[in-house]
Amino acid sequence: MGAREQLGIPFQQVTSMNQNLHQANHVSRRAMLKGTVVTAGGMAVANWGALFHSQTIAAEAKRSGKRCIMLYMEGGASQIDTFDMKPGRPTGGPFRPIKTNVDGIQICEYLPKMARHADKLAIIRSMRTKSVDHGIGGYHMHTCYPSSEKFPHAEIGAMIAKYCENPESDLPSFIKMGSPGCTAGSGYLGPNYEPFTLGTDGQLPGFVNPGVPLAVQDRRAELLKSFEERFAKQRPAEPFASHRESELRTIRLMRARKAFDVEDQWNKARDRYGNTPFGRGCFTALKLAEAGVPFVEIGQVGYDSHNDNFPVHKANLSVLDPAWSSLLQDLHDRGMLKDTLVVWTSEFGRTPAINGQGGRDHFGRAWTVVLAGGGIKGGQLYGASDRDGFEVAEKMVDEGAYFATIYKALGVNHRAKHYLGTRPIWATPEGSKPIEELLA
Amino acid sequence: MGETAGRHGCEVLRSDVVPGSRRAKIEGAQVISESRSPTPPKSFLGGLPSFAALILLVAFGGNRVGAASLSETIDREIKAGWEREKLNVPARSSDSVFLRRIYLDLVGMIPSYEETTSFLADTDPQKRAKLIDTLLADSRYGRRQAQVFDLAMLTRDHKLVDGPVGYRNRGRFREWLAKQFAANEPYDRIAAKVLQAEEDGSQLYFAVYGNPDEMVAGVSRFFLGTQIQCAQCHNHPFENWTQKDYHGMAAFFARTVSVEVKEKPEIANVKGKQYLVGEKTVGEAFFSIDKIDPKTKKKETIPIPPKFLLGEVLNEPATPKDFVEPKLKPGELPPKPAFSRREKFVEWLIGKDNPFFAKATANRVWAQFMGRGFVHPVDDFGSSSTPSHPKLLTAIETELVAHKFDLKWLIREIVNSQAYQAADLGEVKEALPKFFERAPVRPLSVEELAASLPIAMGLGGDAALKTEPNKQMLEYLGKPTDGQGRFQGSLTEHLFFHNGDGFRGMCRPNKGNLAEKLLTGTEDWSQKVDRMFLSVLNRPPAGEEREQFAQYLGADGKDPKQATQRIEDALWVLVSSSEFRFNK
Amino acid sequence: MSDFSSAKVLHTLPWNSAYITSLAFIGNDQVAASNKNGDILIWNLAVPEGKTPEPVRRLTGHTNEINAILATPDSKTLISVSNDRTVKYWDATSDKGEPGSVLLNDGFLPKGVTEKVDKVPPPPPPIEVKVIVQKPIRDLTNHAEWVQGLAQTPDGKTLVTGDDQGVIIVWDLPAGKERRRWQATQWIASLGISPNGREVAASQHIPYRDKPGKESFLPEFHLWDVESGQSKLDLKKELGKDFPREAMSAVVYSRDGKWLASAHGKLQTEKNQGKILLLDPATGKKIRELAGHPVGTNDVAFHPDGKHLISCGRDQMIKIWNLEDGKLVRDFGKFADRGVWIGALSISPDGRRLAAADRAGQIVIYSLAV
Repeated sequence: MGAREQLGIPFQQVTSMNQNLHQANHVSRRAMLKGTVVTAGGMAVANWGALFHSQTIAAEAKRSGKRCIMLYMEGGASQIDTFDMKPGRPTGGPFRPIKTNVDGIQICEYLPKMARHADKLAIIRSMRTKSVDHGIGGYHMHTCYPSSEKFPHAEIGAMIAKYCENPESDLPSFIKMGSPGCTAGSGYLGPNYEPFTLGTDGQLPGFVNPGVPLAVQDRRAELLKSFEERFAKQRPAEPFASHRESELRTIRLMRARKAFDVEDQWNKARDRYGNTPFGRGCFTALKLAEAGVPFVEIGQVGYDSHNDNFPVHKANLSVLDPAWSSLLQDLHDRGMLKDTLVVWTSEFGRTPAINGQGGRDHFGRAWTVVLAGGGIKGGQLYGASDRDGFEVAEKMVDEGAYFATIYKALGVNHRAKHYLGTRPIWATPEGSKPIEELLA
Repeated sequence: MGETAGRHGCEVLRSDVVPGSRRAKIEGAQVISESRSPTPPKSFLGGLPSFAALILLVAFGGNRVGAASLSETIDREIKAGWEREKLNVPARSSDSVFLRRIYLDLVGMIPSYEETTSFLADTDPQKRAKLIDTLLADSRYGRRQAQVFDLAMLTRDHKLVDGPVGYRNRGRFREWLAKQFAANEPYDRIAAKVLQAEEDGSQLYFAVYGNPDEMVAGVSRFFLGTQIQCAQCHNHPFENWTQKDYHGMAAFFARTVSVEVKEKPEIANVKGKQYLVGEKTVGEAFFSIDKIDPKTKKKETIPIPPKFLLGEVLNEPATPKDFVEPKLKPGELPPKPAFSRREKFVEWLIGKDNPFFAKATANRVWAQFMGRGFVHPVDDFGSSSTPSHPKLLTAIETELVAHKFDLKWLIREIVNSQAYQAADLGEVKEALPKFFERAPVRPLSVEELAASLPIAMGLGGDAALKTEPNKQMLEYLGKPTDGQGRFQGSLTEHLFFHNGDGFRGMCRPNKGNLAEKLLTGTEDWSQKVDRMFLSVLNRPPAGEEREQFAQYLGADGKDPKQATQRIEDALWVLVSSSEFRFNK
Repeated sequence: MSDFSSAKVLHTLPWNSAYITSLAFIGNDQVAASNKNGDILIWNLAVPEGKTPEPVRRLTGHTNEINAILATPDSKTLISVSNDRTVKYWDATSDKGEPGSVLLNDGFLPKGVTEKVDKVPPPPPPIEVKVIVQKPIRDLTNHAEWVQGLAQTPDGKTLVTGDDQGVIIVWDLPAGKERRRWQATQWIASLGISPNGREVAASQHIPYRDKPGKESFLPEFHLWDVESGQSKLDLKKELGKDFPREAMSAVVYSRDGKWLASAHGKLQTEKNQGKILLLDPATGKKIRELAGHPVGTNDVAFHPDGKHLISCGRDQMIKIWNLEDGKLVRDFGKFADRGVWIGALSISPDGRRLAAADRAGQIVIYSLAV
């Protein structure tokens, strides 16, 4: 069967009745995996990504213990108005650059707190990507593949969750806050790595608190389990298994729900992060990272400024700056930054030319993403756009290189291979290479 | 009564045993009047005396489109597909699986306890065909089709029709659609009416798709089955559509405008907003082409004229040069133009020269019942998508046109086929098997859940009809797939059933509902378990299930409080199960 | 007279450098225009029949976009506010200064660039005009953020400005000295001052395109008491469901203090905005509503006849309204949904001329023939 059994890890032995009930339903992920593979009467239950159920996750994965927090700017953040300033040029706009704590790096005056963290940042100004509309761009920047391939690709969060998770933890290993930006989910990696989605501010929905006492929860869960096992015989179709596994994950989430309750600490932190849902989301992400969640994505909406680009960005940056900088600071102060990669990204950038409604439109030919923290060599500018920002001038970075770099920083094989049926699929397309200059 | 698990899989499907057909072959002259298809193939047999018709039927057999019913053609082609792909032939679905499936697919909710027991007990070998006819004539059929088509046309998450008040905006449109489907209005007429937007309640389409770009993308996707929107800003990256194709089509919609009818918020918030759709006399697409003026031979730049996709440029009268657009009050429509581009578009859309419409419709209706189209995604006909069963798609398309887009006829043919009635068991792991070698598995829509829960809990058919999904249900259960039919298990969905008040309320014994019957009834627990399973899952429990559940329910003896809780637990188990959540 | 039916275009003054942000008549014969680059040009309109006026003076000093300019009632001073966070005073009448020149067409036509890349086109042959270059006579740095609000009392004694930190400053206008200031919540989108100088109406917001979810991020609109620096009236409460979702692009008191006009359209995030509300400044209640410009109104001005209001909008139109019944009297322009904005307007003190600037790089002078 699985490598877990080969390693001789026993199912929990318990004594008292109550504990028995409880433990019987305390399906740690390890046991759950074992369970779902076994109970389907020996049949190959949809075991996503693996060709045969003889390959298990433990065999392939080496837990790296690293984490990633992704700040996703939905709508397309303007690179010329944030990290790739063009002062004095007709495409420059009214924002002015300011110095940072790194000589030679200047960023927008409306990211003053981030300017004090430039030594942690690798600013990639030569992104060049192909999918320049919201749906397809969001998909491409989350999965590394274009949606036109019509294949159930896995989002970056699911990939990182799989290779960096702690299987003992009851917390979901892929958490999304706020606007999704992409609905691909875990794709071929299977329901174990579907995201758990919350509002931007990271608060749990109201009905996460159990409505019935624990004893009732346990006994009915037991009844459901055997009912589902009967049903699953001769019914290996993926949706059923996905549904069952989500049920088990839900029980564990309910048990771990306290990790999301950051109210008391938030009261002290809100002045630093900014009293906004995005600020609170970033703070919750810090707490979840502390609790060992390997991937948290927080979305900030409202960057699609086809008109009124400058007031809109000025407002958005006033929310982004305190939240992002406080997150970096807190990770640093807790000694977590070296193991936590913080990614700042978007679907695409915005045009250098300003249109007749004071706005900028979608643009993929030369834009900017920023990496910080775990595995990254900070304090650098990588790549450049030309004088007015219309094209990449040096060191172009495409989707594959961007993903490969992130995976390598987190200790994930960027060419990790999986199967859907018999069709192989790699985490990044052929030829994708991590950018060594960016890695510490 | 009912079936036990042991019978699953023992009825191997034989292609000559089609419900009804054996009688048809034996009973000769009666064949025409007893044929499942209400419209006997007119073109071939109409007018001939019935005996002669029978000779012709027997003589020419099943290969002529006019002779075999569409159901038979479907089964023949699907079977050929299995043989080609070397797939196992699926068994026939059990009665209870078929029963639940057909109710959900045709009337959008599960059958009640009474409907279930009555069908399962019926020994008539024609009962499935008869049930199909009954449900197609049921008043809930129109409502169900309207939900499906509304969601497919307008999607779940457009701002105008999303969320609590937005959801009510769909109400008028759905009511109007339901009337069309209930009256079995030919589908090409329905499509025309949606785009003409003149009938009361039909106008929402152009309110949701409020500018020419949204209109052309929506119409292409839904009615033509082709995704043209990528060609708006540049020639389509994957297909042959150019910007000229896109904007040539958008030009048909450049003059269409929609206005909101001013209403008191108290009314609009309850009944939904009302819209009117009109058309201006002038207006062009925001795209220019170069043209050589035939007289002066000079090159001039003109706004792109309307051009049918893969077709001709529209022949339209020139707008008078000094035309002055009338000043309109807010909420006022422009006066009806002398020449309507949109009307011409509608003519072309449903005309016989349109290569897209019938095929897209055939694919879409097939996909609705069989889980996926021959082309998948259903609205993505293009150079890279080869139909899985090209002959069958063509046959359905041809027959659909011959039957003048009679939807009930088409649906009847599909759901009477063995392919549709295939079992839910087998080793196939895919949710929507490409060669239909197992019945598709799809999550119930939130509308189906909202209606089925009251039925399952014995609250009655009226309650089911009145229950609309509330804001929470829409949020947590509204989008269970990734948009291409792939189910994505979400934790919030389970949290909703675990801890939400809505479901718990239905489990409290009250007014003759299921919980009360279970609590106060005099039968023993085993019989109560039967009732529970028949009500919620529309099947009797298997032996082990009956034992296990009866034990669970009786574990605290006669204490009503404990019993009530245990009843709620058991109901929770059944409703939370995969079996309930999906249509299989 | 008041049907403006014989109004017509007098001159079209091209200035395609960077989009024009504000206009002000200086007296009846000169018009000043400011732009995104921080330049101000002044044209002399008193030219012989058939000639097109050319700019005669250029005011330099601002280093970023100028948001608003005005001329004092005695036509002696021009005042401007900018994203460079300064307020500057200029001599409106002097023609003394350094000889210099200005290129009238060194901007490129603002055009969206999609994936099918449109590079900056090669520049057309330059149109250069000789001008006198002048510097500010006062350079006031009292604000610490972009200054968007600018208004004066009709007697020219009091000036008020507002910035993106929410700071409102009331000034002794002739002296150029700050009299008092106070802090409002959010950023000042636009403001006006009552004729008696005692009350400031300020439209406040944070220009999110998607509000981050909470009520507190909706715009505000207050009538502030100048002496105490306190809010007298919260117009969100007074207006109820008439209170729009985005801030006002312009807030203007009529000369007689009877009306407070507020034009909706500082930010466009939804369809069909752009109403102009005529409020009673004493109570904050809506007297009447003008349909305005769908998509957004950019600027409004009361006509000196006291009976009309002129507005310009994002729909490429200029509209003249009758204040008594709120009806549209006449309009200019061709409607477009995503059009080239008419960003600014100014009416000459005698009410006979109108200047309007669009984002395609031209100022159109209309004769209102009243």
